[in-house]
Amino acid sequence: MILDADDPFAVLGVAVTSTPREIEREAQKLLGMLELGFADAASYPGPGGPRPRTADAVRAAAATLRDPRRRLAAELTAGAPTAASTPAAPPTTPRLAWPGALARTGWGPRR
Amino acid sequence: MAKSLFAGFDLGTTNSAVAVFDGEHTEVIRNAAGGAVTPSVVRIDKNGRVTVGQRARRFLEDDPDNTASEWKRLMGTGTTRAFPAAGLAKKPEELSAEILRALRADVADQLGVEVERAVISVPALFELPQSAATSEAARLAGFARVELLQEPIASALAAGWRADDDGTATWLVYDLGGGTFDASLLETRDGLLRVVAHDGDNFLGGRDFDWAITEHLAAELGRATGVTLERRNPAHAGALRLLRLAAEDAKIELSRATTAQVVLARPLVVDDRQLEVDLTLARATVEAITAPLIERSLEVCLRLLAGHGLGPGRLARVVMVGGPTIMPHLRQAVAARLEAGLAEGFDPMTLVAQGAALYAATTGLDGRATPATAVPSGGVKVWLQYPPVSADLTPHVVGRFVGASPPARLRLERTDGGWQSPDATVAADGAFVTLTSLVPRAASTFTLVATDADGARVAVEPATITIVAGLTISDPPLSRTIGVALASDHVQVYFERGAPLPTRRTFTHTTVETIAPGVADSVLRIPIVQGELEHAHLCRLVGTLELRGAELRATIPTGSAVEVTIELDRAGCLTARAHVAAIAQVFEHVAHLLVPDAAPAALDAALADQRKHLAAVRTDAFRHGLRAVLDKLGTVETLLATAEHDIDAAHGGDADAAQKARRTLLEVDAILADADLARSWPELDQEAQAAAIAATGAVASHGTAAERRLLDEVLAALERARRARDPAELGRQLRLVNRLRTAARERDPDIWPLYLEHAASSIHEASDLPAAQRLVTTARAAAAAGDHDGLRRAVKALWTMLPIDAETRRMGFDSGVR
Amino acid sequence: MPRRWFLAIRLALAVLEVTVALIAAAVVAALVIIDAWVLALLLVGVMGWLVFPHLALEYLVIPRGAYRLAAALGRRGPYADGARTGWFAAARALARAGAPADGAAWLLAQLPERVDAAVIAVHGVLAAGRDDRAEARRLLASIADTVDPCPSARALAGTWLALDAAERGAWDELTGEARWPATPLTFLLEAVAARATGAKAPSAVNLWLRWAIAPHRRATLPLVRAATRPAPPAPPAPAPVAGPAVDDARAAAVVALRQAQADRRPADVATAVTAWAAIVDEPAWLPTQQARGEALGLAPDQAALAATAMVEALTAQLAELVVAAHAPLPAPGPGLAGAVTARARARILDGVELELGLLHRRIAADQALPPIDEWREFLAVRQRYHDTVLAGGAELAQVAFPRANSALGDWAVWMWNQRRQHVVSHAITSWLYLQAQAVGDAAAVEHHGANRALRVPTT
Repeated sequence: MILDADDPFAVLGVAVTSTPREIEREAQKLLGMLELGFADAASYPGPGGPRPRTADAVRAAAATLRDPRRRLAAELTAGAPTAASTPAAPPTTPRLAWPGALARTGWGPRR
Repeated sequence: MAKSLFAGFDLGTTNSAVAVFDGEHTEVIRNAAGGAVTPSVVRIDKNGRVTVGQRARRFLEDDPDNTASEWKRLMGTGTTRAFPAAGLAKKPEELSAEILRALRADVADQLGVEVERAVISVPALFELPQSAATSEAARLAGFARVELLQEPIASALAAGWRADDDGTATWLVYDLGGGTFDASLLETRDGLLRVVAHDGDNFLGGRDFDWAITEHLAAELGRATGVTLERRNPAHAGALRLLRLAAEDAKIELSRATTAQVVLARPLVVDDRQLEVDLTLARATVEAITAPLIERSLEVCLRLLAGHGLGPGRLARVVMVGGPTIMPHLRQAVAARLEAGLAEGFDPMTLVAQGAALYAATTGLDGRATPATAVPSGGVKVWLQYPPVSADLTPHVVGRFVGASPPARLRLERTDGGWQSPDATVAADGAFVTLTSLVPRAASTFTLVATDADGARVAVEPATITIVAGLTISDPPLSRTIGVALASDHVQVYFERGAPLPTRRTFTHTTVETIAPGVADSVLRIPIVQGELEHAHLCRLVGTLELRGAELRATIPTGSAVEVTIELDRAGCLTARAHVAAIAQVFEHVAHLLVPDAAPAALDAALADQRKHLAAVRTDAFRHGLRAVLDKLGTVETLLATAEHDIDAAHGGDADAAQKARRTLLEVDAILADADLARSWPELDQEAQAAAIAATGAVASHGTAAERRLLDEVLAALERARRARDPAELGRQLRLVNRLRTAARERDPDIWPLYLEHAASSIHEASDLPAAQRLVTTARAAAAAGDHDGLRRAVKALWTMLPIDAETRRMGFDSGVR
Repeated sequence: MPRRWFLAIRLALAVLEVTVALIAAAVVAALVIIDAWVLALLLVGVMGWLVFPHLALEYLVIPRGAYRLAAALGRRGPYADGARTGWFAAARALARAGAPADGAAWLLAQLPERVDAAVIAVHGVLAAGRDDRAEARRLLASIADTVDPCPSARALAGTWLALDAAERGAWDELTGEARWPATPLTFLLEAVAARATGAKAPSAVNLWLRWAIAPHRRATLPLVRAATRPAPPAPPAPAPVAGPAVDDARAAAVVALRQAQADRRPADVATAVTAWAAIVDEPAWLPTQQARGEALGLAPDQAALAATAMVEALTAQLAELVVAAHAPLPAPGPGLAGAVTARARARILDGVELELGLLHRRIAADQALPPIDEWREFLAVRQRYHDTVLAGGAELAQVAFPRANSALGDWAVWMWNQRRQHVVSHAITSWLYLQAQAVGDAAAVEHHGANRALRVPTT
C-alpha cells in the first residue's frame, strides 16, 4: 500500500524536505518524550484530525524515512492538508427511527 | 558511578564469543582457557556432566557419540541430539544454551557481573523458527531479556562505529562462518548505518571447505590403500570425522605455511582394515580444491552488487568476518574480484560479538538487571532520556524532574569545557528538552546544571551523563519478509524485510470456504510464511493460524471478513490473531511450525520426481525449439547434482546436509515451475488461435446477430490476452469462444446426426441402457424423417444419461485449459 | 391477504372478535345468573383456549425467553401450522434470551434435515439473538428466494425485517413493491415508512386505524405520534467547510485517495483514479521521481525501479478500492487508469474463479456441509458475484459466467440428487437461469429452465 493511515512526516512532525539527520534527531526526541509521558507528544495532527502518537508509530515512521525507496513513496503521499478540507458527511440520524424496535416488540434480545 | 556494561554474544556454528562495551571501549572476554573464542562443542559424559568449549572439542575425536558440534543450522528443526552415555537427548537450543551459559560464566568470572540482558547475533537469513529457538536458548541459559541482531549488522557496527568517513559510503560484509555465508551491503550516511540488502547461501561455510579437503584426503587415501570412504555409508562416518578434524588443522596450518602434514595419531579403522594416514597437503592444492567454493561466495557478492546497480570497485571497503576468512588466498580473491580494500585491523573471529555489544549500547540494553546507580547525592531526582550512542552530534536530551517543586532552568556543560547549552526552561510538571553537542568520535560527558527561580544552583541526581558519538542503527530490522499465504498461492506481505521491530500489522482477508461449527475436519487455515518469493509455496511456512470447526460459535460462510493481526517482538517472536467479526470470535491458536523434516527417503523420491519433470520439460522444449526454456533449465542440472551429493550425505546421517538438499530441491522446483509456464504458453496460444478460427466459421454461418457481435468482442479480448501473454485471461476468453462456437453449431441441423453417432458410441456408459437404446432408435428415426427438432430433443435426452463429463467437455465450459 | 383489503378485513375481524367476545361475556354472565356454572366455565375455557395461547406467547412467554414453554404452546395452540409456530415461538424466545447455545442446540435438533423456509427462518432469528444482525438480515431476506411458499415463515421474515429497518430508520426498505405478506405490525410500519419517506402517504386516520389493529400498541404509540406530526423543515445542508486551499495537484490527489479510502464510494474512487492518473501519466513525472530518488541516495537504476514500484503500488491500491467500492470498471485503456482497470478486473475474476474452483472441488470430493451452511454458502457466493462481477459490468459477467455456470450447475445437481436439498438446489438453478438470460447463453437458459421447472417437494 502506498498510502498508509499514518503519514510518517506528520508522525514525526518534520518537513518533507528534512534531512536524514533531522529526522533521526526528531524521532529520538519524540521517543524520549513519549517514554517520560510528555502530554504534548502523545498526539499529532494527522489527516482527518489528531491521531495518537505511539513509540511504535514513531519508530516505524523513522524506519520508513530512513529507507530511500520508502521515503520516496512517503513523499508522494505526504503533506496533504489535514481535516477540514474534506468534511465527513454529517452522521444523518434518520427522522423517525425507532430505536429498540425489535427488543420492544419481543423480537430481539432484551436490552 | 559504575559504568554501564553492554554485552554481545556471537553464537557461531563452530565458535562462539562474547564481548562487552563499557560506553567507550569494547573488550572481548577470554574464556577460562584464555581463548578469545569458545568452540561451539558440547559433551555430556555418562554421569551427565556437561563440558563445553575447547575441552569438549578434544572429545570429538575420541568420543564423537557423546560430543555434539555444528547444531546451529538445525536450530528450530525439532531434531534432537542423543547422548547415549548419559542416556540424554538434547535439542539444538538446549545445546546453544550450554554455550551461552559458559560464556555468561566467563563474563561473571572476569568482570564480576551476572549478565541479565544482552544482544545475541543470528545469521541474516535466519528464519522465524530459528530465531525463536535462539531466544529460547537464551532463556534456558538464564537471560532475563535478549534482543537478536543480524550478524552482518553487528560486524559493520564493530568495524565502522567510529569510522572516519562522514559522508556516504557503501560497504560489503563478507561473512563466511562455519556453516553459512552472508554477504551484506550496508550504507553509512550521516553516521547512520543502514542495511541496503543482503544475500547469502544458508548452506555454504567453512565446513564445506573442510569437507572439500576431507574428500580430497579420502581420495588420496583411497589411491594409496584402495579403500573408498563414502559419506553415504554410516559405517565410514567415524573415519571420515577423524579425517575431517585433521583436515581442519591442516587448513589452519596452511594459513601460515605452504605445506602441511596430515598425520593421525592412530590408524583409521575402515571396513575392519587399519589404515595409516600420512599425507602431505600443499597450500596450492587446497587453493585449487576450495576455489569453486570461493567462487560461489563471490558470485553471491557480485549478484548482490549488481542487484543494486553497483559494479566492482564501487565499495568503500569490505569487512571480512568468520574464521575461514583468515585464509590468505581467500582474502586475495575477494579483494581482487570485488576491487575493494579489505578493512584491516579487525579480528574476524570476534567482530560479531563486539558489534552485538555495541548494539546493546545503542538500544540501552544494559547487561545488569538493575543498572548500577550513583551513591545518592541528595539532589533532585531527574528521569532522563538520551541516546547512549549517537550518530548525530547534536542529539536531544529529554528529562523530567521528580517531585513537586522542580528547578526553574537547566543547562548542560560539557566536562571538557568546550561547550555549554543555552538554559532550558523547566515546565511546571518538571519536563524539559535540551540539545547537546558531542565531540566527534569520542565520549562526551555533560554536567547537569540546574538553577531555581532565583538563579541559585540546585543539586540534581544524576549529576552527569555520557554520550558516545558513533555509528548507530536504531532498531533490529526484520531479516526476511513475513506475510500470509493466500489461497491463490500469492502472499499478502505484512512486514517487509528491514521493517523495524517490534511491529504489528492488521489486514482484512476474505474466506474462500465455508467453515461449519462442530464439523471436526472443517478447518480454515491461515498460513504465515517467510520469504521474498512471490509464490507462497516457495516461501517457508513458519506458523499456521487455525480456525477449527470444533471451536466455532457459528458458521463462517464463504466471503466472510477475517481480520488477521501479526505481531513480532524485538526478539523476532511471532504472535498472530484472527478476528472474525461476523461471529464475534477471536482465534489466537498458532500452530508454530518447525523447519520441515527432511527424511533421506523422501528426498530421494523428490529428486527422482524432479529429474523426471526436468526430462519432460526439456524434451518438450527441444521439440518446440524453445530457447528461453532451455536457458532456464541450464542451472537445474547443476543444482540437482548438488542435491544428490547432499542426499548421499543425508543417508550417512548428516541431518544438516539433508536440510541443505531440501532447500536446493525447493529452488529447482521454482525454476521448473517457471519453465513449465514458458513451455505451456505456445500450446495454449495455438489452441486459442485454432478455437478462434473454428468459432468464427461456426458463428458466421449459424450464429445470431448478438452472438456475432459478442464474438467480435471476445476475439478482441483474446487478442489482447495473447499480446499480454496472460495465460489466465487467455483461458477465460477461450472458454467464451468455445461457448459461442458450441451454441452456433447446435443450430446447424447437419451437426446433430454427428452428435447422435458420438453419443451412441458411448452408450455403454449410460445410466439406463434400455432407455438410452430406445432414445437412439427414436433419434435415428427422427434423423431419417428429417425431423430436426425431434433429433435434437432425443440427443439432448440421451446426453443426460451419459456421464456428466462427456457432456460438459463437449460444451467447452471446461476445456481443461487454465 | 392483499394489502388493498387488509385494513378493511382486519377491522372487520376485529369488530367481529369484539362482538363475539361481548356476546360470549353476556352469555357467560347470563349462565352465571341462572347458576349454570359448569356451562359458564366451559364457555370461558373455550374462549380462553382460542385467545389465551396467542396472548400468552406474545406478551408473556416469548418476552420472558421461556423457549420450551413457547415451543409447547405454539405446537399445541389453535394454530393451522402448529409445528412451525412452535419453532418460531421458541426461536423468538431464545433470541430474547440472547440465543444461549444449549437452547439453540435443543431447538435446532427438532428441525428437519432438509432446508426450507422455516428452517432458514429459525436460523435467522437465532442469529439475531446472537446480535449478528447482518447474518439475520441475510438469512431472513433469503426466504424470498426459496420456492417454498410457507406463509408463516414469510410473515415472520417480513415482520423481523420491517422492525429491523424501523430500528435503523431505513424506511425506504419498506416502501416500494411489497415482498412479504402483510401482518398487522408490518402494515403499520409500511404506513410509517410511507409518511417518513414522503411517498404516497396514507392519511393520519388510516395510520391510526392501522395502529389500532396492530399489536404492541403501547410500544408503537410514540412512533405513530411522530409520524402524524407534520415534518419539520429540513435542516439546511451543512455548508462545505472551507479547508486550506489545495492548489497542488499532488496534494489534491492525496486528499482524494484518503477520501476514497475512508468511504469507498464509487464516485470518490473514480475521482482518486482520475487525480492520480493526471499526475502519474505526465511524461515528466517518472524522471522527476527518479531524480529525487537519486538525491535521496539511490543508485540510478534503483531510483528508476523505486519510481516504477510506486506506480505499481498506487495501481494496486486504487484497484483494491475499485473492487471494494463495487463500482463498474471503466473501459480498458492506456495509462494509470487502464492499469487500474486491468488489475481490478484480474482481481475480481481470479477471486471468483478461485472461490468457484474450491466449491467445485468440494462437490467433486463429496464434502458435505451441514444443509443450512450450504444455503449460507449459496448466499455468500451469490453476494460476492453480485458485488464484484455484476457490479463490474456486462463484459465481466460475460467472462465470469461460464465458470459460475459449471461450478454452480454441478452444485445444484449434487444438492438435488445426492443431498436431496431441493429448496437449495432450486434456488441455485433459478439464479443461474437469470444469469444465463443476462449474458444470453441460450444453452444454459434452456438447461436451467428445464431444471427450474422440476417440482420441488415441500412439506
